[in-house]
Amino acid sequence: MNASREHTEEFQSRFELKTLLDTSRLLIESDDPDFVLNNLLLITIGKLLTPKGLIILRKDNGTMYVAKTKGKTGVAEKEEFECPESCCKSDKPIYTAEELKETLPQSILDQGISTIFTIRTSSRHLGYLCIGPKAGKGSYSESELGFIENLVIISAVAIANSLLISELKDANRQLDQKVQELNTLFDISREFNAMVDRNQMLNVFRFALMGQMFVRKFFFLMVMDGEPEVIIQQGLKGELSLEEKQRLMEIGPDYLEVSEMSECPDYLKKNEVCALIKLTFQDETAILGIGRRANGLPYNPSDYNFLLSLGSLAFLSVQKTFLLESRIEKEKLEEELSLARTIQNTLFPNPIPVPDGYDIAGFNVPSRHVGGDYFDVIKSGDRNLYLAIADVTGKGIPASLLMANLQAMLHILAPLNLNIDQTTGTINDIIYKNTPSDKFISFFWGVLDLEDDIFRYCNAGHNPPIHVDGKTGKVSLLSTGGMLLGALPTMMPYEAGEVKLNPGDCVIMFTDGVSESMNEDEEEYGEERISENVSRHYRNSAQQIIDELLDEVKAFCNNNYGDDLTVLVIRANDHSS
Amino acid sequence: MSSFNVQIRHEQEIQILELYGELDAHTAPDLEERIKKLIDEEKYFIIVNFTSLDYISSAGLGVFMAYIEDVRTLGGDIKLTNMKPSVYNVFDLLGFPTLYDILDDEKQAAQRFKSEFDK
Repeated sequence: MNASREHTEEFQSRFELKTLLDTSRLLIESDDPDFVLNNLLLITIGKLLTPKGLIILRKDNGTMYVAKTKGKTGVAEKEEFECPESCCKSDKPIYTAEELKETLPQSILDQGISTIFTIRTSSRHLGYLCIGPKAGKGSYSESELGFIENLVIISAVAIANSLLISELKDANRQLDQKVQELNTLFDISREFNAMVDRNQMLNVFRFALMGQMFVRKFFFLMVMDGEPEVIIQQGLKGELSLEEKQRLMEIGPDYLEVSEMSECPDYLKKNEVCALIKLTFQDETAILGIGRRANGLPYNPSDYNFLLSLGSLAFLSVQKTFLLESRIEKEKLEEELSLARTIQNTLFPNPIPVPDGYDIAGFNVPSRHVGGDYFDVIKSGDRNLYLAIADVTGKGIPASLLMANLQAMLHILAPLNLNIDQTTGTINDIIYKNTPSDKFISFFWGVLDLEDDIFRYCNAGHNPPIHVDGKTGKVSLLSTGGMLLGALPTMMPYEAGEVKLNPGDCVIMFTDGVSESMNEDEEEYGEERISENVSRHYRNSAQQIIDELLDEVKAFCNNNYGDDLTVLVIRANDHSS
Repeated sequence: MSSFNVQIRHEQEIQILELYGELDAHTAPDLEERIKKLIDEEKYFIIVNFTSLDYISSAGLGVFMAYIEDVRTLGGDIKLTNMKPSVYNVFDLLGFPTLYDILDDEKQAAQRFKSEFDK
């Protein structure tokens, strides 16, 4: 019988050697940690006839995890636990459960683990192979334990190598993902640069976000016309209130997980929005809210970085479209304004009708394309010449509309040769009815009788024109009239004033753009200086009087006049001329 | 400019989209339009054949992402087949295989649809 026993032992030992050889061959070829671990565990429990076994591996961060488990071990794969320092000192190849009770968690030892093999390479402690007692009774023989010890030594190198390879694979994959992220940003920025249509842009952004981040729900909030608005959203139900939107715009850091928000709008909760990304450009802010990822993974800092980049790119490009639109709008407006200016120019008399014995010149320059100043000279029949000057409050299109309105009225009324003071009252009533209460017109007009040279005028709140006596050079102001046009209905009748224009006399009419031109010390040019200026030059032609006055005004304010400038001069020729 | 093209044919109730060229941010809206049209026509069983697609960007993937839920809610599906390794790699990197049926060829996809019809 001895022979047969020896035969069995020899057979067994040969089988063991073959197993070790096969295993080492398999392990050398495998770079899959799962396969290596599975192989080690299966051979062990098969060889030792134990119903349970598990492999615990250490991680670099000081924890251990269950890498593989077979049978009823009471723990699940990937479960983690703390790794005490004593763990590193495990240099015995085989331990009993009792010896490692300080090192391994009680939860594992409780499951009836009896024997523990240390898995280590010459330089590194990797973990433990833990097994339960033999099925049935009896303990493990020395040769059984010796065989497993050898198997563990062979496997340890393979485990270390395969773990390294899988770490490398992970690192490679992360790199690939980064490259993919960069490709996406490149793809999108190239596309955005070529686009001007905001909706197309947002659509492309939508695809890039969904494709790259694997999300189905998101919204993009930015300020439009002063109020935060959702400019694109996907898969979200309901709406944010204005107040909620404003609150979201004020979140603190670059990104915020919704679970950390103290007061979270229902909209975010209901739609499972899980993070808010804050995008800033100069003083502007936009918020990108994103839902869960379809693969259930959380967002990591690298994902947030990508979202910040992609979001900022979209934000900038959308801003760009708004700027572009406002520029186009502005250009369009400027074109319209210059058209308006052309029309307005035709409202000034051109050429100015100049009756015999008189010299007349007018000048207007608007501070913007179109202005609210107006002057006119209208000949009515052989005998009457109307002269008018007006200043509408404000500037630009509204003022020029009102000016056109007044111009039309004068051209209709002048041929009727009505009484100038009563007509002024009528004009006031019409203007009062037609204009908002903050629009007024200061207005001066008069009619010159070409037979007796009497100038009958009415001054409705305008800067009094200056009459210069041609013989004496004496200056007087033409201020008889009444109040501004358009402020109140005519209750007090307007009065008319009269002055005879003798040869050499002149009347200088101007608007407040002339009198209120300011120098650098914010001092106004003033009516006094106008009087002084014309007193010096009244003997010249009407055009020269204007030129001298304007030269001085321009020098005074350093060419920096803020308002429309208008001057109208009529001069009765000397007998000699 | 990247070139991209879609051809649609059908086998019984299954619509087959063949993609050609490069699917990126520039061409993604083209594909979106085609898929939208199929949904509008109530054709919810869609196979996308990638045999002749050379390149796909994340924006391209986004189109599938945008419509998969709609199509599934309507009782259909979008199944993807015949991807080149470089194209599959992008789908894999971004985690699509967990959400989409990505199959070797149209035949497999059609069979998958049939087994789903039977359920």
